[in-house]
Amino acid sequence: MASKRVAQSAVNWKAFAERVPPNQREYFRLFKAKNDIFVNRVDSLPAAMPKIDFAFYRSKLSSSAMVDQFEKAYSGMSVPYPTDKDNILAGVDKEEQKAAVDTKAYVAELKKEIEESKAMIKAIDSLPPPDEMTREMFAYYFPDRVPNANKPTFWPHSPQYQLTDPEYAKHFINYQNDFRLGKFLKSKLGKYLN
Amino acid sequence: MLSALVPRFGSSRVLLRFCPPQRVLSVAGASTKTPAQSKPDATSNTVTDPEDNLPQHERWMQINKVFYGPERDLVNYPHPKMKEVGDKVRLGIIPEELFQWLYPKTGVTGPYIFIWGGVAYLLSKEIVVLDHSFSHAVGFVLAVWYLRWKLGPMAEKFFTDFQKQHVENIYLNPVKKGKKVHELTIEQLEKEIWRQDGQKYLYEAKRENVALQLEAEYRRRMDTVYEQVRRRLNYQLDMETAKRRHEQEHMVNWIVSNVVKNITPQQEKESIASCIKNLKQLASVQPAV
Repeated sequence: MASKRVAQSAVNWKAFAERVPPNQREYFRLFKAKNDIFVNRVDSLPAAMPKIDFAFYRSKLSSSAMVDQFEKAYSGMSVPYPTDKDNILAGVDKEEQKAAVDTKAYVAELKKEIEESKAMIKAIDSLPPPDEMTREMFAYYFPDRVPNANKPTFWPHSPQYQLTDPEYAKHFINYQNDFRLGKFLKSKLGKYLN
Repeated sequence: MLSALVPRFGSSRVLLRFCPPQRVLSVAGASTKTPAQSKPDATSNTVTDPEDNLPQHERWMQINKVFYGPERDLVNYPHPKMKEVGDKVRLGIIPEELFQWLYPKTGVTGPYIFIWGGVAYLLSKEIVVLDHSFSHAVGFVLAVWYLRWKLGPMAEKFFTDFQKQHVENIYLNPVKKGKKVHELTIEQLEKEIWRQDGQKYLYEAKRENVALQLEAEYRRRMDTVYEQVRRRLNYQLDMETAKRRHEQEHMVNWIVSNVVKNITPQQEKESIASCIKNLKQLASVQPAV
């Protein structure tokens, strides 16, 4: 019944604190405070059953038989160790298993990203030096920076003047509206203009 | 990120003028296949359409294979390199190559004889006519030569530095920056992986918290037992003490009251007289000061 008795925190809190991400520091602090409360509560109470000076009572009290009875009962007293009724420990174990699975997936994802970054560094290192870079090479390496016959562009061929650019598209629509307005005015006022 | 890598010397306006589109798209544009069909295999040496959604690094490695791959004879046909400075010249304008070409044929004085002989020929046949305006040409050449001598090094330094800075700004620095970003990313991610060990401590601490609460409850129970037993014993003790004190007080009161009851007026008078007598005696023995 009496499982492992604990008196103080056995967790390596320093190593734990180092591993906490900066955005979770506050939660960590609260968690640690809670643990401190539990440790203090344990520390404030005696670890073993305190001794009672029965000899003193025997000398003072008239009936020593009663004191003997008390002493016998007190020394034979066995306090039951409390059980984890709500089975919280099992819940924690379950949670840990789930977290382990999640962590494994997360680490795999991170490792994949690291591999990608490493491949990218390798690719960047493979770029030719600038004095060897010809226009042809440039067109291969940075195709979005050279004219593409499949994707003709509007004059003056800079990105902000293309219709794919929402900022410019807005102007274009305004221009169309203006054009329509012009047509409308012309249809109304044409006879005077002529 | 990738946009940071892109040098600006390939701005579309420049390339429109100097780089014919059909050449740029010689491989990618010629294909009429859809991107799905033209999915490149790793072994092919063709450069694929940028719209094939290949990751940037894979595409770049593929392009690298085209230009620096095993199929290219880089020993006999190296890539042309842009010269940083021009070839060596003599007298400011005459290429060194001319001298090297003439040395085996004419000896070391040959090139100069060739040049001055040529000049003599031009003059004697009146191909170059020394009219009045020829003096202008001499002055012009001398002025240009003087300026070249005085200002040439300065201009050279300025343009060299400018070129170096330009290349750094448009190509080397963005490349370096991109690399740095990826290195930082790797560092951060590795740290993140290291942080995952914190889970172990977290669940250890959670279990410990439960154990600590159980232990606290256990200790509280023991404390309660101790307190209860102690209180009962103290009660017995207090009760006996109180009883004894009460009995003693009662006994004393009873005795005193009975004694007082039995004193007669005659006895009282005698006692007072004896007291006064004692006082007088004391006063005579020790007179007042």
